[in-house]
Amino acid sequence: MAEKNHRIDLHYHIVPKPYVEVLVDRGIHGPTNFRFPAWTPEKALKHMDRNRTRAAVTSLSSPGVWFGDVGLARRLSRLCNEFQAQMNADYPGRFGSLAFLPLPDVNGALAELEYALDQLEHDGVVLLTDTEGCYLGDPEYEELFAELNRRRAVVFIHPHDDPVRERRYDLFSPLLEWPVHTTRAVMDLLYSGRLERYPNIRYILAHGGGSVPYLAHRIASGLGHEGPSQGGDSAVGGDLGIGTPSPERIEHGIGLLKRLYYDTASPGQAHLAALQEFVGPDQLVFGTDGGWTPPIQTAQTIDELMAYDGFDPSELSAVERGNALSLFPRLAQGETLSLAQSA
Amino acid sequence: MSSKKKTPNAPTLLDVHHHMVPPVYLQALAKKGGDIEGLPEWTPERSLRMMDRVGVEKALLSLSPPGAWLGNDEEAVRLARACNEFGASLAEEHPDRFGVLAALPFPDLEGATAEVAYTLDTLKLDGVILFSNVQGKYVGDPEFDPIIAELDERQAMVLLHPNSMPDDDENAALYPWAEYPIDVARAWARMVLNDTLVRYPGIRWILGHAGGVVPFMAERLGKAHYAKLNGLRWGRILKDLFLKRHGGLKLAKGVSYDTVGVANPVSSAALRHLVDPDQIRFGTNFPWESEESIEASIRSLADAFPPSQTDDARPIGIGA
Repeated sequence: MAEKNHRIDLHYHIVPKPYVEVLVDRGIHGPTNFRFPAWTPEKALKHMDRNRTRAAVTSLSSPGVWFGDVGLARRLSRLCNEFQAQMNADYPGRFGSLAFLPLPDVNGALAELEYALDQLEHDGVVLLTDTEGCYLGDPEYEELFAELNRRRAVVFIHPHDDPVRERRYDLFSPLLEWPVHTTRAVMDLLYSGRLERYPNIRYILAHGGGSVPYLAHRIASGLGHEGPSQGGDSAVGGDLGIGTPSPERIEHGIGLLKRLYYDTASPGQAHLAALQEFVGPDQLVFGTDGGWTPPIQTAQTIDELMAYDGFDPSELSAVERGNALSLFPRLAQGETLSLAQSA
Repeated sequence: MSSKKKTPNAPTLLDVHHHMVPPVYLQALAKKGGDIEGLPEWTPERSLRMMDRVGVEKALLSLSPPGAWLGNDEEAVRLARACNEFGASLAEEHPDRFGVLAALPFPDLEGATAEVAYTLDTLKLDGVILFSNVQGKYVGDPEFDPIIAELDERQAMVLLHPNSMPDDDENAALYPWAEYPIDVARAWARMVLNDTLVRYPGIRWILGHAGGVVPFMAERLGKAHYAKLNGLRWGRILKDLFLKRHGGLKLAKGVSYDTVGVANPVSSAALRHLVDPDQIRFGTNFPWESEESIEASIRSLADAFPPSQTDDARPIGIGA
C-alpha cells in the first residue's frame, strides 16, 4: 500500500500554455538562461504524487507579466489567475492558488487583487521582488500594501529576473542573484517601514528567504538608512561599523524579520540549521520550486529536508503541512475532498 | 603557533582579519579623492592595545577595501609594494604580534604575479588578501588563473575579502548591509563555476566575513558547476547532478571561514553545520569593529564554538 500524500507545497509554479504562447509570439522564451518548460496541470499532479504532495499552492514565476505594456500585463495576469481558478475547480483538494498582479500598474493591481480574491477565491498573492527596478518598499505601492494589510493577505515573495544584472555578473542567475533579489526586497520593506506599518500581511519568502536569515543581523544594522526604493543613502565606504543603530533597534529589526515565513525550496543542511535557529519550525513551510525545477531536483530538496536531523516528528509535520494549513485553512477542507476522491 | 601550554588568560587568539591603514595608503586614497574622513583611525599601537585587551596573541595585517588598485596599474604596483614593505617592517619589529597578508595590485596580471613572488619568497609574508572584485573583475575569472597558479604553487594562505561593487553598478553605493558580504559569494560562485578550486587545490582559502552567504547557499551555488560545464542542457546534466549532488557542498566544506559577522546564533548555526571547528578562523575586522564590539563577539563566539578537546584550549579553531 503506497504512502498517502501528506505534504502541502507552497512553492509550486504554473507555466500555462496560453501564457507561454502570448510571450513566445513576442519573442520571449523565458527568463535569462531558461526556456519555458512544457508544463500542464496533469504533469504537475503526477509530479506531486511522486513528491507525496497532497496539495500545491500555485504561482506564476518570473518573467511575470510586465513587458512595458499595461494592457498586456493586465491581460496576462487575468489569464493566469483564471487558469489557476480552473485548476482549483478541476482538481478539488489538489491545488490552492496565489494571484498574480500586473505591477507596476497599481490601479490594475488593485482591481486584479479584488477580482482574484473575491471572485476567483484565490488564497493569496505572489509578488515578484522587483519590477522595472521598483522594489516592494516603493512609495508608489503604498495603496496596494494598505489593501493587502486590510485583507490580512498571504503574500509570497518570489525573485524576478533582471536581465541587465544577470548578464553583468555572468552567473547562473537563479543560483545566486535571484536569492539576492529577495534579500533586497525584504530590506526595502524593512527600511521603508512597510514591514512594521502593515503587520497583518503574512509574508512567505521563497528559497528560504534568499540570504535574509544568514545576514539578518547585518541587515537590521542598516535600519535608519534608505532602501533601494528611497534612493539609498547608505554609502559608508563599503564596510560596516560606522553609524550603526542602537542594539535595541537592531533587535527590533531582527524581530520584524523573524515574523516572516520561510520556505524550504533551497536545499542545504546549513540553510535549514540557520532557519531553525532563526524562526524555528513554526514559520518554516514546505516548498519545492516545482513546475520550473525538474523533478530530480525537487526530490533532492525533499531528501535534504528528510535528512536534516534537527526536527522532531511533530516539528517536521508542521513544516511539511501543518503550518501551511494554518495559513490556508481552505486547504484543510480540501483534505476530505481529496481523500474521498482517491477512495 | 607555540606548542607550550598557555595559561587560560594569556592571549591565545590568532586574528586573521585585521586591517592596517598604512600612512602611504591613506595618502594614496586622499589623492584619489577617496572618503578618508570615513576611515577609522589606525596605528600599530592601537592594534596592540586592542589585542592585549581582548586576548589576541597575533594579528595578520591586511589592507581594507578598496585595496591597492585605485584606477591605474602602475600606481597599484607601487602602492602594493609600499604597503607590503610597511607591513613587513612592522612584522619584523613585532614578530610575535604581527604577521602580514600581502596586498596585490590585482587586476594587473603581471604586477600581481610578481608581487606574489616578492612578498611570499623574499619578504616571507604569511599569505595574501584578495578582494572579491576590483571594478567588476572577479577573483575566479579565468583570466586571473596565472595569479591563482602562483599562489597554488606556494600553498599560500589567501583571505578572500569582500569589496564594493563597481562604481558604475546602479546599486554600488546602495547596500553595504547585504551586497557587500554577498560579493564574497559572487567570487566563490565563479571559482566553483570555473573549476578554480579543483584545478588549484593547494591554496589555503579563508573566506572573509564567514563567506558572505556561501555557507548558507553552498549547495545551491554548487549547481552552477554542472550547469555551466554542460552548457545548461538540463536533460543531460540531471543524471550528473543526481550523482554528484553534494559537489558544491564538498567544495564549501574544503575551505576555512573567518568569524567576522558570525557572533549571532543564526550565522554560527549554519557555519557549525557546514565545517569542522578547525576550519573556523578567528577574525576581528579591527579597526572597523570597535574594541567593545570585538569583546562582545568573542564572548558570543566562545559559546557558539566551545573549545575542542584536541585543541590546546583555544576558544575558537585558529590553527593557521
